[in-house]
Amino acid sequence: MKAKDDAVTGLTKGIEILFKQNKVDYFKGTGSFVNENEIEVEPLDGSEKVNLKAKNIIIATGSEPTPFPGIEVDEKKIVTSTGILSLTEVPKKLAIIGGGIIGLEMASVWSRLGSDVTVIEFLNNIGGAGIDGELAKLAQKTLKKQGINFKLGTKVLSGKVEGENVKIEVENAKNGKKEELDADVLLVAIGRRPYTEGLKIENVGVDMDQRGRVVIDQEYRTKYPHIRVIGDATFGPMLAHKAEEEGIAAVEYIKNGHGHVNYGAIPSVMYTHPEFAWVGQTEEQIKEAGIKYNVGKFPFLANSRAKTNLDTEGIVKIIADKETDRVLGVHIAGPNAGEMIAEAVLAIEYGASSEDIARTCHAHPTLSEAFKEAAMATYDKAIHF
Amino acid sequence: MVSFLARRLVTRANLRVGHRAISSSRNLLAASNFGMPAMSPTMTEGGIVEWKFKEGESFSAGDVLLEIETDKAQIDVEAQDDGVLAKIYAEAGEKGIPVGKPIAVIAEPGDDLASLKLPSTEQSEGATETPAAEQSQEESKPTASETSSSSSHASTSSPSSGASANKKQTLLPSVAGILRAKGISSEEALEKIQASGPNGRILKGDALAYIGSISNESVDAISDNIKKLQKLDLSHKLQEPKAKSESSDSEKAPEKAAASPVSSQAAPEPVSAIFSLSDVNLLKSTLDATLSTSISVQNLVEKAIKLALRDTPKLTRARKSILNDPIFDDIVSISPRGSKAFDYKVSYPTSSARSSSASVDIYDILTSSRKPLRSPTARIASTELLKISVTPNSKVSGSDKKAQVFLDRVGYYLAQGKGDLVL
Repeated sequence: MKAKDDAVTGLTKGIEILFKQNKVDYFKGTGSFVNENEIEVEPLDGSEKVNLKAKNIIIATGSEPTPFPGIEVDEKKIVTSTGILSLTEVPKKLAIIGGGIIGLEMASVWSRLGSDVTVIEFLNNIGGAGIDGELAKLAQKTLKKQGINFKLGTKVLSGKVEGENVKIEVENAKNGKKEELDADVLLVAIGRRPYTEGLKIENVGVDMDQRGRVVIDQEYRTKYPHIRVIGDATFGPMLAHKAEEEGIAAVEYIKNGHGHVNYGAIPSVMYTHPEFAWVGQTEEQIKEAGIKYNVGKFPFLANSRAKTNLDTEGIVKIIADKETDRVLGVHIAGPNAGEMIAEAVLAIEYGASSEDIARTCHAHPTLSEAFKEAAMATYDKAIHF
Repeated sequence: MVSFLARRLVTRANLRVGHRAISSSRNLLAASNFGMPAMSPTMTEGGIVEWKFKEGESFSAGDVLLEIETDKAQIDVEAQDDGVLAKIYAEAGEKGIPVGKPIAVIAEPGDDLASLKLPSTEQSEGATETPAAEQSQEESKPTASETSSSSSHASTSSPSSGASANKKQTLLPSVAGILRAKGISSEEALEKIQASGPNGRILKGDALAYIGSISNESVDAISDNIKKLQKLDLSHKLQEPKAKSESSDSEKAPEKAAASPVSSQAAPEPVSAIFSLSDVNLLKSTLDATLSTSISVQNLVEKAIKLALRDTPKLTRARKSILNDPIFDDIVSISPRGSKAFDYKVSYPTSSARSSSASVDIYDILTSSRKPLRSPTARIASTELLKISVTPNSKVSGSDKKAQVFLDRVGYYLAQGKGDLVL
C-alpha cells in the first residue's frame, strides 16, 4: 500500500515540478464558470476565491465511477475502483459487479493477493464493449483457471452491508433463478461517467447529452468555440492516453488551427495477468462492416522468450484486409501485451500491411518475435509454429 | 417523418458522393467545382435549403456543408475532407438544380481565396455558355477544356487513392518487394502510383492496385473504412432536449422527439406506408386452389405484421460499438423501460366496397383475443392496397427507426417473404 501511495504522489508531484519548470501558473481548487470567459476558483487550502479571466478554456474534469442504482458505496465494504485500492487488508471474499476492464483488473490483482473473487456480469461475455470476441473468451478461460469465478448473464438486484459482510442478491437473466452471495467486500465497477459536477456549466449553457457528456464537435469545441472539452468528460473511449492526445490536439487547434488524434489507432490495455491489449477493429466489427479479411495468430507457447520465462499463456492475433493486406486490428493476450501493442498502433497509424511488419527485423529472443510471426501468418505462413 | 427516415438512410450513402466531389480539389491553388450531389440513383435535380457555411469560411471533414432537398427528402451533405468554401453559385432557396451542376467552389484549406482561380462553372457534359459571358470571365479562369478534363477526371478518379505519392518516402518493404518482382523502378513508382497512406505514403494495397492484381475499389473501400474510424465518433450522442423554438421544420420534429426520451413534446407524426396486396392476393388464390381451403388476405396480412413485429427488435438493435453499450446506456439514461416503441393501425384505404375497414390494435394481434371486425370471406379486388400507419412513441429512443424497420419488414413479408406467411 505504501508503494502505491509513493508511486501516486511521486507521479502527481512530478507534474507540479513540470508546471513550475515550464512556468505554468496553476491553482489547486474547485473551478466553476461565472460566465463564458470567467472562472471562479475555490482553493483547496481555504484561502480566498480567485477569479480567472480566460480567452480559451479547456474542460478536462475527467470521470467518476457510475453508481449502481440502489447500492450505496461507503468505500469500506462497498467500494469503487478508488476504494478497492485502499483496502487495509486482503478480503477473503471479494465480489465484483461488472466484468469490464476495471472489474477484471481488480479481480486479477486481488485474486493473486489471495482473495476468493466472484465477478458478476450482466452480459454473457466479459471484457466490456470493444474487446475482440476471441480475446474475451480467452480472458474468461485463463482468469477462470486462476480461480476467479464468473457469474455471467446475471443481474444484480441489491447489495447491502449486513454486519461484517455484504449480501448481494443476484438473478440469472435467463431463467430468473435468484441467488444470494456473500462477500467481505463488494466492488462496483459498471463503468464511469463524466464528472462535471460543481463546474456550474449551466451558468454558460453548454450542452450536455443524456449521459452527462459535454457535447462537442470534431475540434472539441462546445457551443462556445473558445470553450473546449477533452477526455472522459466528453465523447470517445475513457482512456487516459486518449485524453492526453486530445489535450495536445485541443491546444494545437487553438494555436495552429489544426490538430491530430487518430481515433482508429487508440490502444486499449487490460492490466490483468496475462495482459490483454488491442487496437483497431475487432473481428466482429470487421465482419459486420462486410470486409473480407485474413487473420494470423501466433501463440506465445511457441515463442522462445515466453518459454524461457515460463509465461506462455496467450496469443497475438492480427487481422488484415484480404486484398490490400492493410492491418485493421491487432489483439494480443499474453505477457507484456500492453507494451507490445505499441508496435501495432504504429503499424495502424502508418497504414502498414502485415507483410511490412513481417519483413521488419525483430530481435531474438524477445516476445516481439511472436508479433512478427503473427504478421507472417496473416499474409503467408508463420515459420516457428 | 418518412422523409426524415429517408434522409437518414440516404445520408450514409451520400458520404461517398460528397467525398468524391469535394476531394477532387486535390491541387493547391486549384479550386474545384462542387456539383449538386446525387443523393440517390434516381435523383435528377435538387434544391438548396440552406448553406451552413458562408463564402470564405473553412470547414472540416464531417461538417454539414449544406442541406439540399429532393422530391423525397431534405438531406444534409457532409464534407469528408477539410476545405474552404470559396464561392457559392446557387444560393439557398434555389430549386430544380440538375445533378452535377456546380453549386459552389471548394478550395483546399489554407488556400488564398483572393488569388484563387475559380474553375469554369461549365459542366463537362457540355452545357453551353454564352460567348459574351465566356469572354468576360476568360481572364479569371482556366480554359473550358482544361476544366472539363480535370473535372471529368475528378469524377471518375477514386477519392482516396487520389493523392500522389510523397517523393521523399522510403518504400515499405512490402511495396519494394512487389516492385522488384515486377521490375518497376522506385522512380516510376513514386511518380505514378497513387498513394492512399498518410502523408502520401504508398501502401502495399496501392502497389498491388498499380500492378493490377487488385482493383482500385478495394483500396478505396478499405481506406474509407479506416478514415471513418479515425474521426471521433459523435454519433452515439444522446442529446437531451433543448427548448428550441426555432424548430419550425416539421421534418425535424420526429427526430427530436425520438432523440429526447425525457421530453414532453407533442406526439410525433405517424409514419404510414401503403403496400400493394397484389402479391398476397395471388398467394391467396394459389393457396385456395392447391389446398382447397380458404385463407383470408386479412389473415395473411396479420401474419406478416406478426413476423415484422418479431423481427423489429433484432434489426434495430444498436450497432456494436466501443463507445455505445446499449445496456450501459439503458442503466444510466432516464428513459422509461419496457415501453413500446410504437403503435400502429392497419387500414385498407381503397376498400370502399367493404362494410368496415379493420382497425387493428397491437394488442389484438399479440393476444389475438379479439377477432378482426371483417368477415374473412369478404371478396377482395386484386389491386387492393393496404395502409399501415405507425405512431412512434416519443419516450422511447430510436422509436422512429424501429417504426420504419417494422414497416419495411411488413413490406418484405408481403412482397417477398410469402413462404413465411404460409408456414
